Formats: sequence, C-alpha cells, structure tokens
Amino acid sequence: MNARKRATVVIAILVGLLSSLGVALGNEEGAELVALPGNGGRWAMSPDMRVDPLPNQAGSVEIRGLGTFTYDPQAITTLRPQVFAQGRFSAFDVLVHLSVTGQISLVYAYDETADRYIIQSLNGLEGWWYDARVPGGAFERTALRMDLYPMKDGTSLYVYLEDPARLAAIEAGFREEVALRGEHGGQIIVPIVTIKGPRSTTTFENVLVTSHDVRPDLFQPGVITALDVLLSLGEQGKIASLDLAWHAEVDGVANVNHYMVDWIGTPDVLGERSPTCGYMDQAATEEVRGYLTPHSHATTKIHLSPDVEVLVSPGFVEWQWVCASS
Amino acid sequence: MNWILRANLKRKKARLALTVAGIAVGVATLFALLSFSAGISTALERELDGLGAHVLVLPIGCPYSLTLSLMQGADTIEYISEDSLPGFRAVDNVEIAAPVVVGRAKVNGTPTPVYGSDIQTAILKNWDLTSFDGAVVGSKAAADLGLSVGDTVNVSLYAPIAVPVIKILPVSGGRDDTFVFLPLEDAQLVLGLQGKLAAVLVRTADVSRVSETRTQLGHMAGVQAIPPNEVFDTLVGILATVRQTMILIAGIAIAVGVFTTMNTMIMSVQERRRDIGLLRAVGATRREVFNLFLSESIVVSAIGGVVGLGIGYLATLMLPRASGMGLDAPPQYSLAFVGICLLVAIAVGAVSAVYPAMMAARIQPIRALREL
Repeated sequence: MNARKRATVVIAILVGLLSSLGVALGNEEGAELVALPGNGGRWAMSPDMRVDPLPNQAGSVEIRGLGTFTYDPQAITTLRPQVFAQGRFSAFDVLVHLSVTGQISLVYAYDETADRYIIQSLNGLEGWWYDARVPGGAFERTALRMDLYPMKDGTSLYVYLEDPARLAAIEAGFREEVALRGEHGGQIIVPIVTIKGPRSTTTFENVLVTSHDVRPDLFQPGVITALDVLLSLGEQGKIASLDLAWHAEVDGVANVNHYMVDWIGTPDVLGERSPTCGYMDQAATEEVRGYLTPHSHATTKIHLSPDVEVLVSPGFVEWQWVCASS
Repeated sequence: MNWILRANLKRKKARLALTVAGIAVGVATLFALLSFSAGISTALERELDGLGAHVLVLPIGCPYSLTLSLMQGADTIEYISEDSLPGFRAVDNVEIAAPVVVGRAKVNGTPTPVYGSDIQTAILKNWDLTSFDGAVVGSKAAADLGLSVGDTVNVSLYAPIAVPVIKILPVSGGRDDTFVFLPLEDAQLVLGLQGKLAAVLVRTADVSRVSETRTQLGHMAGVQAIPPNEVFDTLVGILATVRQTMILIAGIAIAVGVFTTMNTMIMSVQERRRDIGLLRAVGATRREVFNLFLSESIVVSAIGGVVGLGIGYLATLMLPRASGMGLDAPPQYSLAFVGICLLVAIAVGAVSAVYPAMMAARIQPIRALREL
C-alpha cells in the first residue's frame, strides 16, 4: 500500500468514526454539523457535546421611559427552577431582580390559566411587554412568555408598553395553549406542524412532542423546545433526516452557542440545500399569528433558535426556509 | 339588420342575462383591481409627499417597515440618538432636518397616533406657524376628540402632559388628519423616548444635489438615508406582485366570459339555421350574416361591460380597504379604467363571436331551407 492509499484509508476511517458519533463534516464555515438520525437510527444528540457558558458578565435592560438598568447575572435566581438549569434565568427574572434591588417597582403574579408570570404594574403603569435580541441578532417582536425567555451574556432586553390589542392577543394565545395542554392530559400535541421548504410545503397534524433534552446546559430534564418538534417527527418516522449546525459564533459574533436547522428531509421535500439558507420556526396560536414578525422579512439571520425556545402547547409550529439575503 | 339584432336579443332573455353576467364578473374584477391599485399607489404617494422631505434619515433596520410605521404613527423599536441631530443639520445642502418621534398615546383618554417634532416640521408641512409650543391637531382627530383651538388636551402613556391646542389642520385626505402633533420634548416624554428619534426628515436647499446629500447622511453612524421616492418604488413593487396575481384572477374570469359568450353564440347559430337560410335566400351575403352575429356578440358584451362596471364600482365601495399597507387608501376611479374595461368587454365579444359567426356565414341556404 503506497502513501496515497494509506492516507485515503485513514481519512475514510476518520470520517466513519465521526459519522458514527452523529457528526457530519460540512462546508458551513465555523459551524459544527450534526446529521440525524445518528448511529443506530437514534434521534438524539450526545448531551455533553455542546455547552453555553453560564452568564457571568454584567447585563443591561432598557425599560422605556425609565432608562437603562444593569444587573449582575450571578445574583439572579429564577422563578422557574423547574424549567431552567442551575445558574440560568429568564427575562422576567431580570425584572424581578431589579425590583428586589430597588431599582424599579414591580408588581407581579403567577397566572395559572396562562402558565406564566405576569407584570401587573411596573412603576405604577400597566400593559408592559418586552422584546429581546440574542447576541448578533435584532429585536423581533417576540410573542414568547417572558418568564421562559432564556437570558445569556450579550442578550439585549427592552421592556415597553405594548399596544393593548397585541397584548390581549398574546395573553389569549397563552391561555389557549394551557387549555390545549389540559385537553391532551398534560402532553404537548401540536395540531398543525408545517414545514415550508425551498419549493414544497409539508404539513403534519396532531404531532405528539416529547423532550429530547438537547440543551441540558440551559434547561431541566423534560423541558420541551421547538427543536423537539422535529426530533419527535423524526422518531415517528415522519421526516427522514435532519441536519443541524451548532454555531459557537456567527459572522464574528461570539457566544451564539445554539443549533440552527440547516435541512429537514421530509419525504416529499423539493428544492436544494444552500449554505446561506436554513429553517426558522414560529410557534404560537392562531390568536397571535397576525402579530408575529414574518421571518422571511428578517434583516438578520440570528434569531432565538429552536433549541432554546421553550414550548407550552402551541396551536401551530411553522418551519420556514429562509435565506440570508432575503 | 338592426331590427333583427334587437329582436334576437329580446328572444332569449334568460340566456342573455346569464351571458351578460358571465362577462360582467370579469369586467367587475378588472375594474375593482385597477381602482384599488391606483388608490393604494396614490395613498402611498400622498403620504410620502406629506412628509415633505427629500431624504428620510432612519435608524438601521428595514427602511420600508420603518417608513410605513412613520406614516401610520405606529411605534418602532429602533431609534436614532437625538445627539446626532446637530450632525445631520451640519451636513452640506441640508436646509431643514426635522426630528420625529411617533407612537400611540391616550389623548383625552382615547388611543390616538401622536407625532412629536419641532418648528421645522411646521415649515416642511406649510403650517403657517411661528412657534410650535402646543398641540397641532389633524382635522379628523379634532372632530373625533371634539377639540378646538384654545382647548387643553391631556396626553398620557409613559407620562402625562397637558398642552393647549394651538391649531386645527385643514383636511388633507391623508394620515396627518388623524395625528395629534406635539412639541418634540412633550412627545418624547409621553412616549418614553427621551433622547431618541424615530426619524429625521431632511429637506435639501439644492434639490439637484439630493443624491450627494443622501450619501453623506447615510455615512453617519447608526443611520440610513433613503429618498421617499425609493421607498415608494419599492413598496409599489411589492404591491405589483399582488397585483399580478389579481390580474391573473381577472384574466381567468374574462376567459370564462369568452367561453360563455362563445357557447351562447354557437347555440344561437344552431337554433337560427332556418332564419339564416331565409336571410341568405332573400339576398343576404355571407359577410352580412357574419357581421350580424359579430354585432350581436359585441352588443351583449358591451352590456356585460356596463353591468360589470356597475358591479365593480359597488364592490370597491363595499370591500375592506385593508390592503393599503395600513394606510387609508380609498379606490381611485378614472375614465381610463372605464375605457379599458369597456374595451376588454368589447374585445371579449368580438373574439368569442368569430367562430360562431363563421359557422353562420358558411350555412348553405338550400340545406337550411330544407329544414323548414
């Protein structure tokens, strides 16, 4: 065997080893690609492979009309210890911390019917909502529960008085989610999951979603995220393959540390992969649909990613093929 | 031949009505589409002209949604630091740089779009004011809130203020009619936007150098500079995609009208074979028979066109105007649209009559008379 043949064999063995670990080599710069199903047809990832460091840098939150406030992330404890892992906290926890330290006056309560903590008043005013942007991202008019929105170093938080109509729609949506979960005996069954690919759309009805504990660094075991929707579809044999990319950084922005969905291999998918395109998700209820920002019109490709987007029981989950240039 | 044509039209009234309806649907769709499209374009142009600016200085973000927010008085998330304003005013060829904040606040308890600016906006909008130290109220807002000059308005959201009404604006037909304009600092306080601006409206001294000024403004940190006509072209371009789909739908409706009319005319030819034979026997030429059926079809289509115009007009009055990008965009009517629709209807009649008329003209009189 000459040197060239030996090198070829060594490379083939290395590729085989990496594939057996569920890791695929791709051409996406700076991203570590994960192809599912992995070894033995498993729709799961090794839990300790990728970790987002605990927040340890001073953060800031802008409260419109009041100013910008700073906080020490290590001094914050979460109201949702059953959701967040040790040392992790939500956007709502930041406000509670500011209130505890006397920087703002916050009155809040847990609303069981919507499964969320709600701001009853902030410095005497009612009707607050928030927006947040992940490192390197842009504000995107979120409709996620504030007490489930995970904070990390570099996440910007903006709190403002929301249009009463939008706020009412968001609240109604949360209540519907809780009602839906109740109807399904505590399980998350998504009535409609839509995958809008490059040139085809596939719809699945009544998808049972189970936890795959993809991000144990962020969440407690059993927490269900939007990424679990795809993993559950895979386990149920409804999608053939799923390509994810772990981004430690994107376009020079550090501390991104999340999975992006590069490709969903539905049985009838049309179109081709592209290194500048991927899937973004939106999970909500019909009440909120008209108040969501269409991701296809996004000015940034960094959004809250599906592996950190905690689900309660959405009425729909849509995956939209989005290209960086759109 | 005219009396034959009139007699034939009266002969099968139900069929005539159905054929007219088939053509009217297509024409009505076309007329409504043209009127709505023109209305939206006019509304956009009016609103952008109403800004009175040659260049819009906006925060970084989607310039089109930011401009629409500005025109609608809707809140935005991205802002420009007010500290940048002297820098914009110092740019060569900038005659006016009017700072703007917009949002919805409660005016005397009613949610109302609020627009904050300074005296430079009054100059841009030709308000004939020497100082801007109170509320300037749009005509519709004044009517809705029952305000007159000298009244005091209470405006609140993040903080409450009370200011006197110094001017009620005349009807403009645009979004300005719905705004309550406040001095910049008051609006910033109410909207919780101290030290922030949603946009800066720039008017240049020398219009021929707008491009150069836009480039200089656009190079300043944290902003983008866009001429309103560029925004207009892009938004109209977005609308064009919708319009193409609608034209396709109208085209299908018109094609259905063609086939309906053709079917009616073929049936008519078959039913009137003996009449045609008699006509030919008493000296009518093939051309005269052909023209008879062609005229009949064109008359039916023209009636369909007129009916369609009426239905289309009613549809534009009854359909919601939500497609105007959040702007009040009433449909716009024009004689040209009426002409286009009637021409389309007549063309439908002519095209659909060719084959049946040829069939009629080819009928042999001897054969037809044998059927008597």
